Amino acid sequence: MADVLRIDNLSAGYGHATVLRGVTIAIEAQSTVAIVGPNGAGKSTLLKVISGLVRPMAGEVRFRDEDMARWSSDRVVASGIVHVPEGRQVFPGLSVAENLWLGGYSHPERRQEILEDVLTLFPRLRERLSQAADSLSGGEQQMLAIGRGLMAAPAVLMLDEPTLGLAPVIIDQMTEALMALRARSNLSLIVVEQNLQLTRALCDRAHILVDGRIAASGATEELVGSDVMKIYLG
Amino acid sequence: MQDIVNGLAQGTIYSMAGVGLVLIFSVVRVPNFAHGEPLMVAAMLPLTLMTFYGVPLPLALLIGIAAAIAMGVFFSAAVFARLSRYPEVALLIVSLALVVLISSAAVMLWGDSPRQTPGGPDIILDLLGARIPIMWLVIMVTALASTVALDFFISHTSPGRIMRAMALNPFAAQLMGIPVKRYHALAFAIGSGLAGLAGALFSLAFAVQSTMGAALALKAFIVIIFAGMGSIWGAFAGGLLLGLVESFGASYISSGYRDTFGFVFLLAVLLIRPAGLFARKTNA
Repeated sequence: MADVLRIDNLSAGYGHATVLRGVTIAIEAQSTVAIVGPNGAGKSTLLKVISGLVRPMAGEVRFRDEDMARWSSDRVVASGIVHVPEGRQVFPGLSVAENLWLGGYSHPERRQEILEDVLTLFPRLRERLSQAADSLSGGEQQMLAIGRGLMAAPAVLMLDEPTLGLAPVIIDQMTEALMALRARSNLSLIVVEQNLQLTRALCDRAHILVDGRIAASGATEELVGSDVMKIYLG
Repeated sequence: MQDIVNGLAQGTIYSMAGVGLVLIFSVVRVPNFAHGEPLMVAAMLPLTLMTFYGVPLPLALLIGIAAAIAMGVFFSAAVFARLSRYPEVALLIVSLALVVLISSAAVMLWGDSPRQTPGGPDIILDLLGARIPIMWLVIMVTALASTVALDFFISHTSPGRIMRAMALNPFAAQLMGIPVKRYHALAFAIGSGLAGLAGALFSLAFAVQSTMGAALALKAFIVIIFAGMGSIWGAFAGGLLLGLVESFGASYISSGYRDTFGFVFLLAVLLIRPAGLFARKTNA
């Protein structure tokens, strides 16, 4: 399968602080890839660079073989790359329906059709459409954040810590929903996750990011439980 | 009664300036101390157009408001959009620099003497012993109508919903693919347009001068601070309240300290209700 996203020798950071140092990753179309690593390794920064929120200092980011390193965040989303950030980041004073509506900004003509699709994947959201987003439980907010990301009809969906802070029973539900997402033929998933159980269940490949560098890459089954994973993640 | 009417007339100008500023501040998060400059230009330009180019009054007022909108778009696209990665304090200094540059240019162009745009209705009503120029009523009705229109726009239209989302969570708004710079420019255009409308009407009822922008921007900031950041109707009510405080202070204490009363009131409000008079409790 061809690579949908290629990151070559990427360095990036904030001001004079370099966070990512020479990161190289290829994401195949319709694959599910995990980025794992200790806190402060640069996982979220990597997603922000892909999203157009942080400019690379060096290296290349290519989407469908097009250089996207200088794209604005709205062009990134319109092209089909969507970032569901850590901490859900729902719009607190707006309803669930309004949050989803905003997610469909880049495809207004397909909003209704995609909304039905999202509500089928997360039926709980259908019951909460008129409720304020900040009145939802943590798990429901995470469903909303993912559903809102799906409203942009992404080719690549990046999830930053989707199970962080959720109760085990909610994590199970979330895993189920993400497995259903994975089954979609037209979607690639990049998942930043500390939960190795979820990583193992969901992802074909994993990259271990340590101190801004790729320490190991490979099939998830091989990496989870390997010595290198134990060294870096305990 | 006359103090109330005077205060409300002055206060509606503060309201319109405050409502525009609260929109810009909420959506763009820029401490735009140059907010008074579009107001000043819209107040000063019509007389020049009428005197030197024979432009009729309504068209001159519209051109003044259009100039204010253009200034807002310029502030957004040519100045603040390019400095978006700088800290707020740098943006504050830049906005103060804009005040100095624009007001200096205005003094060179128009001098610093007070003037008034002629041609407004000059009927004066008598209500319970208070003299009310009909132009003041026009200003009050326009201020109320423009705030209702803005509230409707923010609550019931797609661009309004997007601007609300940007005010609530700018980071998430970017991740939705919203072209934030375009909406920043729209917020600046609307906010400066309201300031321009205030300036154009103000010049028909009161004396205006080319150095007035900074003081009005400062008062608009007082309004949005003591009304509570982020509330359009809070800013509207806050403007009226500031007008009343100044009017009563000038009448019962001393007119020489008119500009001081607003600051004293602001300090008192911040001590009693730090979040502002009309701020609602929100979930953390």
